[in-house]
Amino acid sequence: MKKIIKKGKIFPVTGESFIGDILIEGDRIISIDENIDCKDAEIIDAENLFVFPGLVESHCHIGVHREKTNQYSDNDTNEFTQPVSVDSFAIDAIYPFDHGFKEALSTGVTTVNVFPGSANPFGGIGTTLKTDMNVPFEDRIILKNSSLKMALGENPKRTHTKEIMTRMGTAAIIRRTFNEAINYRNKKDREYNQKNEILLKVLNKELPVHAHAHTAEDMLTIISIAEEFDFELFLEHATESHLIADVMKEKRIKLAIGPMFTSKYKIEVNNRTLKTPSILYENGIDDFGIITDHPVIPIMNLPVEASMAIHYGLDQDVALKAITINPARNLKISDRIGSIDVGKDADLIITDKHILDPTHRVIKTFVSGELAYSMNEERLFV
Amino acid sequence: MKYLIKNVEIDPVVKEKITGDVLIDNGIIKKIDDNIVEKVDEVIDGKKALLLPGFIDAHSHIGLNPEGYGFEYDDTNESSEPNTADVRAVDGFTTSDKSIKEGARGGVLIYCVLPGSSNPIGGLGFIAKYSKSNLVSDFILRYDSCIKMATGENPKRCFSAKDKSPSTRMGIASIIRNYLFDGKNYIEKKKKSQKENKVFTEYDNKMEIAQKILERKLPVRIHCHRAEDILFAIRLKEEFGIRVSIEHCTDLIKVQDEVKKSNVPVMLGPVMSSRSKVELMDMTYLSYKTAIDREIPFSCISDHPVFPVETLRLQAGMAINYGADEREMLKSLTIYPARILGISEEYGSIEIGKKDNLCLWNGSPFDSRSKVVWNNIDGFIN
Repeated sequence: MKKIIKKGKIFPVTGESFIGDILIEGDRIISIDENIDCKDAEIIDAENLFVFPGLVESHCHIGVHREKTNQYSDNDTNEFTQPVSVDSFAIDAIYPFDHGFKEALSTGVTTVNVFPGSANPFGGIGTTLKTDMNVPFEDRIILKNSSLKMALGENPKRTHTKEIMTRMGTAAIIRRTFNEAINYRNKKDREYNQKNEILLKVLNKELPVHAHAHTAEDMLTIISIAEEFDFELFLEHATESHLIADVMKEKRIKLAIGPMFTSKYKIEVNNRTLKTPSILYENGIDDFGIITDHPVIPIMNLPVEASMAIHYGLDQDVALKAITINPARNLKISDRIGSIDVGKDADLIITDKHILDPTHRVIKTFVSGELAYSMNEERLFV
Repeated sequence: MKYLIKNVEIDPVVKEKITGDVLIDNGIIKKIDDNIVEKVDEVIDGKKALLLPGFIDAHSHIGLNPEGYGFEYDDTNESSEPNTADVRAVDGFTTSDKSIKEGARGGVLIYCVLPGSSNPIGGLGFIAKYSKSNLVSDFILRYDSCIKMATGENPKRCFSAKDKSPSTRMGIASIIRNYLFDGKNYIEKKKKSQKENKVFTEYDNKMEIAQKILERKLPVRIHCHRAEDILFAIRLKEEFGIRVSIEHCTDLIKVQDEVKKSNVPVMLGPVMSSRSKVELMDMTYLSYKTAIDREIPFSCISDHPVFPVETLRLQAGMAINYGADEREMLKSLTIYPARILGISEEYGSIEIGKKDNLCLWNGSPFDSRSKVVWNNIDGFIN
């Protein structure tokens, strides 16, 4: 089944915008041109409308922290009982029909990466999946094991009052755990151990680490640990990254910034500001992603966060990349996701205004070539 | 002993009903015919009543928690630790549970008794048949026939209250997977000592059970309500190549495609209870119709004492009220659970060569006004 999205103003993200057509076959974009004629294709009129790639949220807890019940029994974000929960897999706890997926679709978010929470120095393994709930769950999965989530700072301290009293304690647990994995690797006659097998993947750079760090010292700690053990590091939240922008520039650490719309509800977010992206940009860093950490702030704020960063001085094209191709690249799925290009997944959204105009509305959301949300039919959010 | 049941409407379950006689010799059905003339020890005049096989309740805690007592007789959950693979339901079974008699009044003559669902790995279940005896051994059909596991809220609630793992669905998955990985290591260890002609000195009860699971000798019965829990159970089956059935399967309708594809049997119920926790939010009698329409192997269970075994037949009746086929619901109490439990050679229908596990009804079992007037253990019941 083919579809043509006709006469929309297309923002490919990877190139200049233009008015034209997009031809979809199955779940892929097969042609992009100023005018495409295809007899057997369904026509989707986008005249006077805008077409963007589906947005990408690289750090959220949709499905594991379920909404609308507000009960502990419905929250599987953190395996609170064990600081080293390397073998906790988010995929085993994602409720496929969580309200957050609906909210994502209505915001134009077509790909989300679901992480375990930040209560543990080693939180577990994230999963990257699409948001269309009409598709069987396993078919929605892009990366079953996207990366190892780690955390530093206040949350592990607050959670593990027996095992961890200080930031020093968190760092020590992290080093000890990696050293155990190295011992495991060096053992000749070793018995299979799930936890250590995962850590070896990290040490072999087959599985990246995404580390929750707000303060400059937490970021610097995990950067030095990543250098000691030589694993691939991405920084999540990076609240104070604008204070150490030169380090970020020099080390080329990939960042996921946000959520920026919160109160100063804990000390480690005292320096939280919507200026972080623009300061980084002024310092020559333009490849960061922006995140909502849903439900910390609802995912519908993703484009609004990016637009507020523009308000504080960020370049518009960079802001658009920060919610599309950059998070896709941070997740290593930019060959499929994050821009409008031939051969990529047909994850597309049609809006009435530019996505970074906060008054825009998402009119249609296509996931893998199928209509997954239509404002007129569902009227979920107005 | 040889006896003849005369003048009854026989519903063999697997064939059309016929009116006639049934000859039983030494506990085995020898003849089913219009009119049998044979010298026997006893003749039972059926007076045109309906002869059905005794019902099979494939998931029950009968005898583990006799009602009306407290702590002293509550032996359903060994919740002292998350993995109690080596506890056996048969060791907690008491024949003095008055529900056993009540169950027989409701036509239930066979039950699979399982440990409860507080532990990710709960212990071994067994299959019992109704008896008037005080001896547990007189009840036994199959010792240690399956192992109970549990996902979702119950293990979370039980162990997080003790500040132990699991506190999340991820933690539950981790405990179950690690148990099976340890089992694989154990098998290797055993093989190695055999190869080296050494006496194996690391015999371990729990690991012996893991070995049976991995060698597909012991089916795993996984308590799952929510969609994500059901999907985890299917994932576990595929990852380890083990035999799995899904207990409760409350969210069946939402993940029916995945369940159908995986070919796992589902033990549906209890629906005749309140939605007492979040994971029961979408509980519905329509699940039975779905299982029938999609040709998913299923049975109708009471989970006694969650709702009383005596009313199991009325739960099936309510399913009929919600559109399920009556014949299929009869099978869900007889031949289907017999097949799933692996006892269909002897039980589950009225056929020549099968055991005499029989009830005479004065009406349809799905009608609350009908009664069991005779069974092959108690004889005539007033």
